[in-house]
Amino acid sequence: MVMATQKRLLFRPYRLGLALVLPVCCGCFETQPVDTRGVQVVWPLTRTIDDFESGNGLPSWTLLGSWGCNAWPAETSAAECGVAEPGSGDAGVAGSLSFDLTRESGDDGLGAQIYSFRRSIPLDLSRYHGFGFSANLEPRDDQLISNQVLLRVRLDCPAAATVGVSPQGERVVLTSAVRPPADGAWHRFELDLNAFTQPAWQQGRTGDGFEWERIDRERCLAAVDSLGLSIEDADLEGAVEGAPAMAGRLMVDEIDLYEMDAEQRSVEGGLNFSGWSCRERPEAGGLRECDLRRAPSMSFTMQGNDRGQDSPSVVLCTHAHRLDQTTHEVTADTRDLTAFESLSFGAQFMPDAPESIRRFTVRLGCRELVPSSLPALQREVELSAERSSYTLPLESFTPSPYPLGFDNVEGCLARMDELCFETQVQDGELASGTLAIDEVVLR
Amino acid sequence: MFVAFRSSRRSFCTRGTCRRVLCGVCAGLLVQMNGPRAGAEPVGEVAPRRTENNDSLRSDADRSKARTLGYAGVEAYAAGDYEQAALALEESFRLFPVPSLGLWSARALVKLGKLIEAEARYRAVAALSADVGDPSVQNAGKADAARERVALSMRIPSLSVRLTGASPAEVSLTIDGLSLSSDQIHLPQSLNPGRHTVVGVRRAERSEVTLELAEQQHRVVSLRFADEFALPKAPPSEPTPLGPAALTAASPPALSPAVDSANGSLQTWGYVVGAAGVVLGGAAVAHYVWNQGRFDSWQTEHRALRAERVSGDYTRRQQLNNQLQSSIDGAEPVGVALALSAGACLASGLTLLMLHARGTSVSASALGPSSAQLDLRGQW
Repeated sequence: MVMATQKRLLFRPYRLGLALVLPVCCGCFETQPVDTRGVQVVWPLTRTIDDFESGNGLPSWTLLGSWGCNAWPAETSAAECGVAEPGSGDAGVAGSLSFDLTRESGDDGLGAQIYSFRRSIPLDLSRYHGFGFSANLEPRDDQLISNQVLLRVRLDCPAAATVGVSPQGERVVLTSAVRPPADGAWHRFELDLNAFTQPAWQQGRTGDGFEWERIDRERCLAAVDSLGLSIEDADLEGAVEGAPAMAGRLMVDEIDLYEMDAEQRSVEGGLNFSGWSCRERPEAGGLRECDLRRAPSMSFTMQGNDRGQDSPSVVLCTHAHRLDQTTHEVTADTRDLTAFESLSFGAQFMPDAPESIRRFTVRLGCRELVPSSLPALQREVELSAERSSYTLPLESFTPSPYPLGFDNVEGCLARMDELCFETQVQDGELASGTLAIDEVVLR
Repeated sequence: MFVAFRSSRRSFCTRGTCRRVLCGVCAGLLVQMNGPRAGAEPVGEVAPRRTENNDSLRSDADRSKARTLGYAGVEAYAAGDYEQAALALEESFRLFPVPSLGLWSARALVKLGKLIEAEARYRAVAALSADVGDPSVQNAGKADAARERVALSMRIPSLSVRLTGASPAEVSLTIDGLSLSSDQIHLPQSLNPGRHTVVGVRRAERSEVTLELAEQQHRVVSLRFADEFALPKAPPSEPTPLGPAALTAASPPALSPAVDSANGSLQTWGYVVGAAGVVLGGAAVAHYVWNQGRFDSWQTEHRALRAERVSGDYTRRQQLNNQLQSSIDGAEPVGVALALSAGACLASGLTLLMLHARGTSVSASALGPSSAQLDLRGQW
C-alpha cells in the first residue's frame, strides 16, 4: 500500500516533471546589472597661484612673496606693477604691469616682467602638468605690434643648473611663451609644464665666451625659486627685426597650476571641462574659500539683503573649454548632452549654521545661445550634510527664467558650456557652510 | 434422480450469464452419467490410472457423486468461487476422469493461479479417451483443452538459478522447499506466478533469495557464495537457455536478483543514497534561502539606487550591487544542481528501497539499461 502510494506520488510523469522543473524555477532569480560607467566629466585639480583679488600684492599661494617687476634695458626702460581693474571674467582686479621700453643700439632686447620669489622653501611644481593664466595686453599709442611681442612664463631654478657658468647677474630659467593679441581684451592661455625649456639665448656660448649652464627640467620643476611673466621683444626668438620701443600695459589674472590625479587620468572617453571656479554675486566678501585642489568646494557666509534688493548668491562652476595646441589659448566650447538621460554627481553641504539642508540650483548653462543673458537649464536640489549621490534626469531640468521667454531646451542641451551649483540667500537669511562636489557623470 | 437431474439441468442452463458457458459441460456430464463406455482411459498426472477392472468397478455411487461434484464445481466456478470449484472438480475428475471434467478442473486451477497444475491437467485431458458418453462432447472438450493449454503455456513464468562462487555439484538447491538436482540447476524451472524462495546451501553457507514471479516472466537468480556477497557483479546479459517446459520464447530479458546479503547491501545503499538526497535537499533549500536573502538585498538596493538621491557614493554602491547580482547569478546553477542532485538521490534511494521491499533485491550495479527499462515498465 505504501509502495503504491509512493508510486502514485512520484512516478506519474507530470508529477515527476513538475518535481524536476520546480527546483530549477525556484533556483532562478531575475537580476540584471546596471551600467555605472556613463561619461565622466573630467576636470583638472587647480592650485591657484594668484587671482589678485586680495589687492595686497601678495600671491594667493602663500609660499610666494610679493609681486615685483623690472624692465630691460634698465637704462632706457621702465616698468610699474600693481593691480588694476577689471579682472578676468567676473573678477574684480588683476595684476598689472605697465611698461615703457626703448632700445638703444647694441641692446639685445626689450622686456619687462612681473615676478614673485619664493618666501622660503623652493616651490615643487613637479606634480602639475599645466600652467594657466589670463592675459590682457593693451598697447599704448601704436608702438606695440602683436607679432613682435612674446609673453613668456619664466621658472627660475638655479639649484637645477648643472654644467657651465652663467654670465654674471643672469639666471638660468625654464620658459615657455605665447603670443598674446595686443587687443586690450582678456585671453586665457594654458602651457604644458613638460614643454618648458631653456630659452634660445641660454643655449651654447655667449659672445663673451661663457657657456650657459644647463637645466634639468624635472629638477627645475621640483625646486623653483621664482616665477615670472614677461612681455618681451621677439627678436631673441628669431624675429626679423626687433621693435625699437614698446609701451603698454600687461594685465595678468587667475594664474593657476593644473594637475590630474590618478583617477582623473584613468578616465577614458571623459568629457573634458576646465577647472572649477567660485564666484559671489555681488562680491561682498561672503565667499570665504574656494578650494579646487581636490573635490571642488566653496565655503561662504552670506547675509540676505533687505527687501527690495537682489538676493546675493554664490556659485561653483566648471566650463567646457577648448585648448588650441598652437597658440595655447583656451577658448570657450560647448558639449552636446542630447544623447544623455541624466546628470549624476556626488554632493555635500556642510552647514555652519544649524540648518540641515540647503537648496541649490543646478545650472546647465548655454551662454552661446544668448551671450549677454546667461541662459541655462536648471533644477533645484536639496543638499544635506551627508555626502549623497544625486541622479537628476535631464528632462527634469527647466529653462531659466532669464532671459525672459527662453525655452530652447533642446538647443541648450546641445550647446551646454557650463555646469554650476548656485545658492541664493533669501531676504534676511543667514547662510553659511561649505559645498563640495565630486564625481560628475552623464548617463 | 434422473428426473431431478434433468430438472436441475434445465434450470441450470437457463441462467442468463453462464448459460452459454455451462450448457456444454452439462450436456457432457449428462451423457457421461448415462453410462461411460468401456475403454475410456483418462491418463494424466492427477487422474488415477484406470484399468478395465477399475472401470468395471465404478459404482453408481461414484458416478452419482462425480455428477454431483461436477455440477457443484461448475456452479462454484460460475459463481467465482474457484477454490471450491477446483476442489469439487478435482474430486469429480478423480472419480470420473473424462475430458469434460478435466477441462473444467484445469480451468479452475488456472483461476487459482496454479498454472503448472492446470497445464498438467490439460495434458492429462489430451491423453484421455473421448469414447465416454457422447464422443462429440468429449472430443470438443479435448480440443478446448489442447487450445487452452497452448495459451496457458505462454503464461507460465520460469526461473533460472545461477551460482556464483560455487559449482552445482557443491550446492544443495531448493525452490519453495522442493529439491532440485544438480543437473537441473542450470535449466529454467517453470513455476506458478507468485512469491518463491530459492535456497542454496553449500556446507555451512546458505544463500537465499525470495522473489516475485509474474505471469510470462522469466528471471535469473544469482546465488553467491564465499566472499562475493558485498557488491554483486552484473550478471551476463546473454539470453538464458529456455527449457521446453518454460516455452517462453517471448519472455522478457532476465533481471538479476542477488542474494540476501546483497539485499541488505541494496537496502544500505538505498538509505545511503536517500540520506545523501536528504542532505543535498537540505543544502539546496539552505542555498535557496541564502540566495533568496541576497536577492532581496539586491532588489532593495536596486530600488534604492534608482532614487534621485542616494546616500553615499552611488557608483560604489551600484558596483557593489552589481557584484552581488553577479554573485547571485553565479550561485543560481549551484542551487539548481543541488536541487536536482537531491531529487536524483532521493529518487534513486527510494527506488532501491522499493526494490528491496519487493524482494527482488536487484542490485543497482546489476541493472543493465535494458533490464532497468524492463523493470520500470513491469512494475510501474
